[in-house]
Amino acid sequence: MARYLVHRVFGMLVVLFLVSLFTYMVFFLLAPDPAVQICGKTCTPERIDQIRANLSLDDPFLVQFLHFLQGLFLGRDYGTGASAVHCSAPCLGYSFQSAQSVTDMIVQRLPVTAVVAIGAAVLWLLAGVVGGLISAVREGRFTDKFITSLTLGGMSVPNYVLALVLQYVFVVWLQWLPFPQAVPFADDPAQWFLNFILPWTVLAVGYASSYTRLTRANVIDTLGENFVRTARAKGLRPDLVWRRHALRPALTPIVTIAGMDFAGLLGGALITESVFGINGVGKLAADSITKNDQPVIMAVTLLAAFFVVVGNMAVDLLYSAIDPRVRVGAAS
Amino acid sequence: MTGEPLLRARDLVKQFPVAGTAGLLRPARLFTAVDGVSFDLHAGQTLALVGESGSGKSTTARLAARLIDVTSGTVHLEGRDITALPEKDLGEVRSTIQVVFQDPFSSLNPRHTVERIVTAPLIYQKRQIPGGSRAFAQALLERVGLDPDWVGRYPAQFSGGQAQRIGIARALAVGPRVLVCDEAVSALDVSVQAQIINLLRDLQREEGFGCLFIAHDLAVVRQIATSVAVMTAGKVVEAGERDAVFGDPQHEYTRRLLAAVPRIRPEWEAARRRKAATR
Amino acid sequence: MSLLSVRDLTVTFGDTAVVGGIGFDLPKGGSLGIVGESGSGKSMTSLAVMGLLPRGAARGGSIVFDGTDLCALTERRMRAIRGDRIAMIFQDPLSSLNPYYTVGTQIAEAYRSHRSGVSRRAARKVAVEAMERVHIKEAGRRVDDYPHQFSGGMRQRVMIAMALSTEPELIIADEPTTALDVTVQAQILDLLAEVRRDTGAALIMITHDLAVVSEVADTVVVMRHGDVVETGSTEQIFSDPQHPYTQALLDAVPRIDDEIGDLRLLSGGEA
Repeated sequence: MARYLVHRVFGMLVVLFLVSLFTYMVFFLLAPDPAVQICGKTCTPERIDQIRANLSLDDPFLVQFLHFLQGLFLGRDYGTGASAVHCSAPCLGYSFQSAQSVTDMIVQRLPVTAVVAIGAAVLWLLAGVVGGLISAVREGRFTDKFITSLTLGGMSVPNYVLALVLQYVFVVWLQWLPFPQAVPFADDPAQWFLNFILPWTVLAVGYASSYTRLTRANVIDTLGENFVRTARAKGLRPDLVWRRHALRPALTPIVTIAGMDFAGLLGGALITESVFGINGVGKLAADSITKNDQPVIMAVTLLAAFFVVVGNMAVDLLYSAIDPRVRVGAAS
Repeated sequence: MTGEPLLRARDLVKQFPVAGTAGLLRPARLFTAVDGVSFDLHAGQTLALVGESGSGKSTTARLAARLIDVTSGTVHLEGRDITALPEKDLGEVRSTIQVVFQDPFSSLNPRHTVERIVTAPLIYQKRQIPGGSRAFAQALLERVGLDPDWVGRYPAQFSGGQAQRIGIARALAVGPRVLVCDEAVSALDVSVQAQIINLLRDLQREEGFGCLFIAHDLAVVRQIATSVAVMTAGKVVEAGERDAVFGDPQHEYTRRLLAAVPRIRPEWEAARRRKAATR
Repeated sequence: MSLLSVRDLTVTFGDTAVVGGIGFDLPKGGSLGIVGESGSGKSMTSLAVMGLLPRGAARGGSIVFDGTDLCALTERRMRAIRGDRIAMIFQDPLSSLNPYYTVGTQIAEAYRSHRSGVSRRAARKVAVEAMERVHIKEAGRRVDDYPHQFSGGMRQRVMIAMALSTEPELIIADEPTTALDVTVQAQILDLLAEVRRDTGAALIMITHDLAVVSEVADTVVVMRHGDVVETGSTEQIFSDPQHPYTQALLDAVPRIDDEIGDLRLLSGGEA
């Protein structure tokens, strides 16, 4: 097990290194000169030179990349002498737009993104698993067909359309939900919670639809398994046949996929956050892309990759905890 | 048997890496599926490789037909070393050795007509189809005991036994010198199995090909083989003429294998045949 | 009196009958072989007795087990018999065992669901004993292993241990050795014979293999296309078959002891 972990962590580091290298390379090769951008409209050649020196933009690509890595793990200094600014690890640089520390920007926004992701995941797991179970139990009947057509709609409607429609219906028309306004949780928990209902729902609809289908298919497959027949042949009560023999094998893959999807969302839900004006990592990513704020884009890309890779590993470990065939080797 | 064998295998070894045993720098542990197997197959002869699951019999057949590459050892086909023949020269091998597999349906493309299926080997090898595709396919179907008018049908329209006949027809299309039957009758009902065994025997009498017959069912082997090689754990433990192996097994494993086969009591069997003869 | 008496049993899917009104009897402690080729309805017959027919299948006729007509029982009362007084062993032992639970749990589960107030520990002891009875070595340790850690033959022993744990009066074995190697098959057949000797359980063996049936059964039922074509003592069926289909089937069996010139073709059968 320890050996396996070492393998996995090593592999994870390699992936992250390659992602960062590739991302850095793309910006180095394709992006317009950051010094010109930072300098703004009232700019002199001397000022540009100074910025270039501060950011070490004249260094070769690999040197710049190594500096970046150094900042990430050890911290780094920008500029020299008295004007030098120390950026402690994990240093992701400073925004070209606001000159804020990128690390701070992300740390500020991560909690709200986590709230969005967690709420949506709870919703879609509940809806997907329950919907899928109902569909499987009523296989071929009206309820099943109805749920299946709902999921088709849920999977095909784009997030931003759904967001606008829901906002119109529930906020403007029915007025069941208040007009969203940013409030800290401590000030008005109720308003805070109501603010998140629509984003959670919008994010969850697509996932819930595919989870419903997946659950339905898995449950139906599992019910056809020979070991379920064996359980029945033992004279087991139907609820036990379901609980012990059908649900566990059917839901195991869903748990693991949910882990991956959730990890992916921690990297930010670009569209949903932007549409609802939620100041999370996703909105930060969207904003930084429109403004070509390279250090920020770089950071959110790495963050997303980090969550996906870590999520992937967590899911594998989870899987081996759930499935004895993975956990325990076969007979020799 | 005298003369040059059609197929000569010497010291065949096949190792597979064991999944999940590879380290960061250490290669995976190897599992030896076939461990030094040699045999000769002559024209008109049926050599049966028998053994239980995991004995290496099917892997041996695949090595001999060059469906997979050997780890070491040599395979000679009609005197020519084909062990290391590059992929592009395998066409000739394919028209000399043909394989019939266990599951007839999964080895026939469900979207192709019988005509297309049985002529495919010729088309892949860019050979002229003698007499045209339709007539050729019809003749083949007739030879394997199927209605020639069925050339336009699809595999799903056939029973298991019929599908296996199509598999055999496809193998015969190129006029092979060696036919490898990999558990070719194992999945069939007993009455259908008997018919396919009869068919293979008849075809061999007509065509004189050599047959490498892979099976776990000793009773079936007894009906079709001229020679037998008994395999276990990747090795041949006993080989010889069929009646010698069945009648006077030398190796402990062969004896155990033969003893384990369920039998209908001989006295019941004799009584039944006496009665059948008077009917 | 018969332990099991089947009369006019039909199994239908909509308008299609896969079992068309068959009957047979099995005395207490007896062994009955049901033989037939694929599509003969032999497996459906066994599932009908267990009340485990697939969705969409309907059962008709009567299945009297120890004086009770199983067809007339509620599902709840049938469940009390199933796995307790009638146990079943299936063809593929790997897929018939749940990969997520230890074999001990799965054996104990059968026992616990039919005996109220059995502690986990007591059920585990029953599982170990059942595994010892089917000659699984180091049963006390292997009871905590998972199915994938056993070989094919050992898995089938686990299935038999599961069936035995409740001391059933009838064991139905549906092709129990078909997926196994011939030497393992011989061991499992010996084990089944031993179990019957020790417990006095009756056995229904469903198989396509005539030689296996000839070794196991006292009485043989030959099925074809959902009908019984012939029933008789094993000796009569194998030494003096009356029905042309039985005769043809026996003619087609490849023999290990001698070569038959031509395996004769079944009349009417097409391949």
